[in-house]
Amino acid sequence: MTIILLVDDEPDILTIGAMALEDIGGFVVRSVSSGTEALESLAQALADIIVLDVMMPVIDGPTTLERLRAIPGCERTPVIFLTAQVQQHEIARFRALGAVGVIRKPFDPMTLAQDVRELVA
Amino acid sequence: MRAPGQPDNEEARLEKLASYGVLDTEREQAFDDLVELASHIMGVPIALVSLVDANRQWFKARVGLDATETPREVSFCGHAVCAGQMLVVPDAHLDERFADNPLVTGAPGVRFYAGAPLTTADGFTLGTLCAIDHVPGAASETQLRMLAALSRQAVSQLELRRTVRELREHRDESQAFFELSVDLHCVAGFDRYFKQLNPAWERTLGWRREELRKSPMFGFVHKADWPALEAGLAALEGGAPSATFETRFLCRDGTFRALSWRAAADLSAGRVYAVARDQTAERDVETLKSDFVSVVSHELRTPLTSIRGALRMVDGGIAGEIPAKAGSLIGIATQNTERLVRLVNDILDLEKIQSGRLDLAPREHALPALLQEVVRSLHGVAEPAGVSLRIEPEVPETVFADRDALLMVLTNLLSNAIKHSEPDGVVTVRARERERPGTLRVEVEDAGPGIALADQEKVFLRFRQLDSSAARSRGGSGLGLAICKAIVEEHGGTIGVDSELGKGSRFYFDLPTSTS
Repeated sequence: MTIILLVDDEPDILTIGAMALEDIGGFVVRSVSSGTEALESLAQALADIIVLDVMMPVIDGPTTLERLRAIPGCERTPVIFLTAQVQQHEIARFRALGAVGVIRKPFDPMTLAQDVRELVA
Repeated sequence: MRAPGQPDNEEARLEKLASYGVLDTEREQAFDDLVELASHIMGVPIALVSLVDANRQWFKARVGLDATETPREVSFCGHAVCAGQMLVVPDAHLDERFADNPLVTGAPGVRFYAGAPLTTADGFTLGTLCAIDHVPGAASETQLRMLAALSRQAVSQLELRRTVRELREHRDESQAFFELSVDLHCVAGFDRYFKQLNPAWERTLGWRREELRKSPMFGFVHKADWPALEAGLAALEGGAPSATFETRFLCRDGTFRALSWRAAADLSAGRVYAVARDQTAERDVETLKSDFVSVVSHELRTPLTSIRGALRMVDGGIAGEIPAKAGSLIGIATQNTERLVRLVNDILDLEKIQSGRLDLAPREHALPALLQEVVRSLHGVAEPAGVSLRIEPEVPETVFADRDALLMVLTNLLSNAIKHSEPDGVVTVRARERERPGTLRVEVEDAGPGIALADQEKVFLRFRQLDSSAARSRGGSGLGLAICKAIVEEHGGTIGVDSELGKGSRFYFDLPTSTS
């Protein structure tokens, strides 16, 4: 049973993303809607994969990634960014921050679970 | 009495006289001195600088006479002007031309008259310098020679007077232009100090002109724009005929205004003459537009992502089996969502390119591999349309461009060509070095309906699908070619199309083969 922590400030995208990962991918999904909630959630219970939106108010994706690495047990958890930003150098920047990969928004929910699996493999 | 005749060049002569602007002006010392000298040399009580106008003679200077003018028909000077030479009348009573002249029979009682013509360099006699006595007389050759010399001095004075007046008018106009211009005019030195500034600087920026002159101009320019200013000045110092550059310029209230400069230099004088125009309002509008476009587009994109995702999942059966009718409705919703997503993406891309926020990183890439990649990626579009894609052999080995941007251009051109092809059509891609060295041309050719000559320019404009209903059914945003044009131009290249109705289209773009 693989647990995914899905972080996005758009509730509709959370719903669709969670449904896609659970129904199609067979993952167990915990959804939270901000960077702060993600850090709180991880402090209580770890996740196997973290799917993290880049553009979020208060604490954005990259900052959340930086802080969650300080949580014991999260040092190596694979993180995948969700982003609408498409330029190559931006994607390279996210990889440099320690993300295992980037999934472009808008994502295709029918292939989302497959994309996640390929990135963490 | 015989009235004076008119010289042959009378009309031009009157124009010439008027051009000196001297008639009916105040007395002037220089002319007064000349009549004083003439009266003394000739030993007579009256001397005049008389200018012969259409109907009168008017005296610019006079000694021994109260009248300021007399009718031309009774004037002695009129005769001298008509003849264009010295006129001497020893005794008017004995001269049939003047014996019954009212100036002889009445005041001032002329008996002796000697008039030296005031003749300009180009041969117009404007009047005379004349000497008059109440008694008959004679003049020695020396006296007449001196009178003639003084008349030449009078003409020189007239010339000088006119030159000064013209210079003053010219200076006044230049000055008025400088003072009143809404653009910012300045003269600066190569020492990077302002020397002269017009009042527009005070009105636009709030500084007093003395303040601007006191410090080097760099002190007023935004640090980030120093290289632009220095490059402009250096170009002028290096002999460039003109330079244009843009800088933000500090106002007295601490804000900056966007100035667009055009400058020329006088190297021998070490001076730069520049006009700066305040473009702040224009820049603000551009920024506003750009911000508006990106905010609106991002706001549109978020809900679109949800709609598209939800539709995909319903369509994919996640929510269970769906009835056939619902399926076709979902199909319509999906297609239109796709179109909106493309439109928003294209608007954002175009805005990014045009505002220079797309960071292009041109590098050398293998061109054959790149073309194959595009053709492969469009296979899924071409095959259902029954269109085959062909790359002509002998493609140059490399291309110098930003990879992603070039892929975008090629994808756009190829998918357009596919869209406009009939089933069984062929779309051909070819690339070659141009005859002009240093340029690479890439062409995408289709056998579609073609584009009328009059429409060929329009296709590169935004939202200009020529047949919008047909284009809509093919799912285009109307921005593809505008994006291609912006990208190609950002690379320093050009884009165009050769086409004829019914004979297909050939879109091409030329790119420089290296940074040089």
